[in-house]
Amino acid sequence: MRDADEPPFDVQVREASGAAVIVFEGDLDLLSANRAETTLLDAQAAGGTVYLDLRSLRFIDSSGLRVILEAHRRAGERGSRLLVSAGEHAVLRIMTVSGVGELLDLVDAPPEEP
Amino acid sequence: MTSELHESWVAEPPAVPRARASVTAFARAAGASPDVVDDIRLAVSEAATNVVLHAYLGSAPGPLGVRASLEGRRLEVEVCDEGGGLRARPDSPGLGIGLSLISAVTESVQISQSGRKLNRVIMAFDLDAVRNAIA
Repeated sequence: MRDADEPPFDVQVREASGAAVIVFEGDLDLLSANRAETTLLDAQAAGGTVYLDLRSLRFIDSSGLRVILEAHRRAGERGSRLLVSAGEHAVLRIMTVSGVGELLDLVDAPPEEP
Repeated sequence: MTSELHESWVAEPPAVPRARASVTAFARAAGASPDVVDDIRLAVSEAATNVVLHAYLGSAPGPLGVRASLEGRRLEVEVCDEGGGLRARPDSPGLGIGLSLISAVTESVQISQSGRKLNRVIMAFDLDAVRNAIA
């Protein structure tokens, strides 16, 4: 049971300026981590730049941070890039408290153009 | 308003958002500031995740309980299980920072193991806390 206060997790994937743009929405936690991880793995398989837009994410915890850190590590290993936009106050706060924000490549927003 | 909350679920992943929703609704009804609600949401999520990942390792998942009580403007939240206690898990799918995140956002945190099989993480929050600006 999730009420209106606890939105489920959702994912959108699009392309912009030749890069993959992944949008995570809702709550990224232990329950949704697998889906988030699969989405990132798929997008990174092509080897290009991946934008991860967390601006519609309302909540993240260490299960979600792990998924994003793993993706960041994979990008580094493959010489590609993972660029993260963390807009929401609560998400930014957790990134700061955990120190994870400092490890990621943060950008204000992913490109809009198709 | 009710000043006690007591709920329990099977310690599987869907229990994590349920525990979060339940305690944050209680905290909000108690008039917690939005910043404190954010902190409570994170702390409960981490504590519940620890129970799901570690408490019943190698056996069928048992209960994940939450209890919250209000004393003045102090909210005490307890996340408990009846599993094997805090154990290292070499294949842990977690990031290993759950407890340090909890202590970063709580006024105090206490871990207790009473009897053979009741493990509790007891976290306290000041409902009126004003968070310092993020450096």
